[in-house]
This record gives sequence, structure tokens and C-alpha cells, in this order.
Amino acid sequence: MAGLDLTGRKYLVTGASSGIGQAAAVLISKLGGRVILNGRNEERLAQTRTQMEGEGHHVMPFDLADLEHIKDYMDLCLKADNTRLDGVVFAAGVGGGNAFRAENLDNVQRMMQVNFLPYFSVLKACSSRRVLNDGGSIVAVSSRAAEKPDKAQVGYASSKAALDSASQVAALEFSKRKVRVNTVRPEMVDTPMSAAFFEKVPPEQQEEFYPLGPLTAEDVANTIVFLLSDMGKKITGQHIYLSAGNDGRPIDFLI
Amino acid sequence: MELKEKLALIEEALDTEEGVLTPETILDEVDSWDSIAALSLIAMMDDNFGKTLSGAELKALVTVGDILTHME
Repeated sequence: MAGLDLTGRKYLVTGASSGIGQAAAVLISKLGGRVILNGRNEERLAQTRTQMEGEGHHVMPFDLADLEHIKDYMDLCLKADNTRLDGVVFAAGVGGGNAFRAENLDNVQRMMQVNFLPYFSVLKACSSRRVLNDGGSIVAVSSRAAEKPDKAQVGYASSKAALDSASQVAALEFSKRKVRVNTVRPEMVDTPMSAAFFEKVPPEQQEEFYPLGPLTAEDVANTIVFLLSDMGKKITGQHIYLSAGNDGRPIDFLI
Repeated sequence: MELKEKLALIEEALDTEEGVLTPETILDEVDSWDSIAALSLIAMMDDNFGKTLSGAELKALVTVGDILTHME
């Protein structure tokens, strides 16, 4: 379908070694796009690469928690083939957390350091047309927790809410260049990060939570790619809630 | 700092392509010269030259050369 065609475009996908980032990288490649695969582990990124179609992809490991060097890293992403980016999928992140009484400052800081602050640096880099072409599209993986946090999610939910707010600000600032910035807010997704949920909650209860069936990484990647593509070209500053049919009930199974 | 380096800093603040600005360039003719570019210029002057451009100084800027006079 023409509107979904990503031929000739180049994307940076963070968190591409597993889960949603990996599914997004694979789908982008199937639609003709080229991908810079970011993650910490080169071997796992190379594994993602084997699932992708087409040429022109680059495995470029880098730990985004190294905030000071993100701009240098992004410059390397441009130099890999001497072209600029047409979009970014920010899927790097960690989950987990504790109730306030059991939570500590280090954990919350770490959550912001990994889930949110690198996104600030990525957006800052993309504020220049020397990094991101006019007409580009940025999609970050947020969470239902940004709007409907559960118990024991103070760090996680706050980091995702920060991601959403930053995206809205960027959407306003970048619109002159026709650059769009959106986030997706999935419910629980069947990925390594949410393994505890899918292990602990029996299938029939999962069905109660999610009448449409639990989200897969591919489900989320479909929405991400829609937002990257020309199909989503008038959508910016939005947070797309992937409910899987959940009526907003809390997922506080761990407490 | 050499002229070339100063121009590069201005180009970064104004988010133009590299090497397109000269001292004679008229700011109003630069597509990306907008309020965000002005804020970026203020930040750049502060970071690199320890100077705070006032509102009046900003308004008085007509050419890139006018910016260069503050970069000393």
C-alpha cells in the first residue's frame, strides 16, 4: 500500500534488540525502509538484523544511558551512510518498580535516566534539520501507565508521562518543518519486559483484561509504522492508546 | 575564534545548512530565522561568549554581520 511505503527512508530504532523495537525494525525493513539498529548488545542486534529484509541496515550498539555522548552517537548514525534520518522509533526502556514505601530514589532516578532523559537528547538532536529531514516522524513507546498508572509504578509511570509531555512540546516546535512527534500507549505487551505479567496471570484472566487478546510486539509495531508513514501525516502531538479492549481496569497484580 | 567558526556556530543556532551564511546575509531572508532560532542564538552567545543578548540587541539585528559584532 503506497501510503505505508517507506522506501528510501532511514530510521533510527532504539531498543531494537528485543520486543517492540525489534518488531518495529523488522516491519520498517519489510516496507522498504533502512534502519539503524540501536541497543546495548551487538550480538542481539545482529540477531534482529537476520530477521530483516532489504539492504542498508546498520547494527550500531550504544548505551543511551550515556547521555553525554548521544549527540556524537547520532552523528555516527548519519555518517554510517552519509544520509540524514527520516524518523526515529524510541523503544528503549525498562520496567519494574515498587510501592512508595519500598521504592528508593536510586531506582526512580535510574528509570528517568533510561526511559526519559535519552529521549530528551534524541529530540534535541532531531530539532536540527541536519539530523532529521523535514517531513520526518518520531514515535516513542510510552505506556498506558502515563495516563492510568497503577500501584508500584511511580518511577515507570512518571518516566512515561515525561516522554509524552516532551513529545507534545517537540510536536509544537517541529511542526514548521512538517516533522511529527507521537507516542503509543500500549497496555501490557507480550515481550520479555512484561514476562512477569504473562507468567503470573492465568490465560482466562488475561482474556478478561484483554478481550481483543493480549498485545504482541507486532501489534504495537503496526501502529508505530502507521505513524511513521504518510498514512499518519496529519497526526502529531498525540498518544495512541492501544487498549486491547481493556476498560481501564488496574493492572496491579503485583501488589 | 576565526570567522569560519563563528559562522558555523550561527548556522547551528539558526539550523541552516553548513556554509550558507555570510556576514552580508540578511536575517529576514533566512527561512529558519524565527523565535526558536532567536532563543537558540541567545543560548549560543551565552554558552560560547558569556554574553546575554538583550531584547533590544536582538531586535536590532539585521544581518549575520550584526550577530558577529557581538561575538568577540
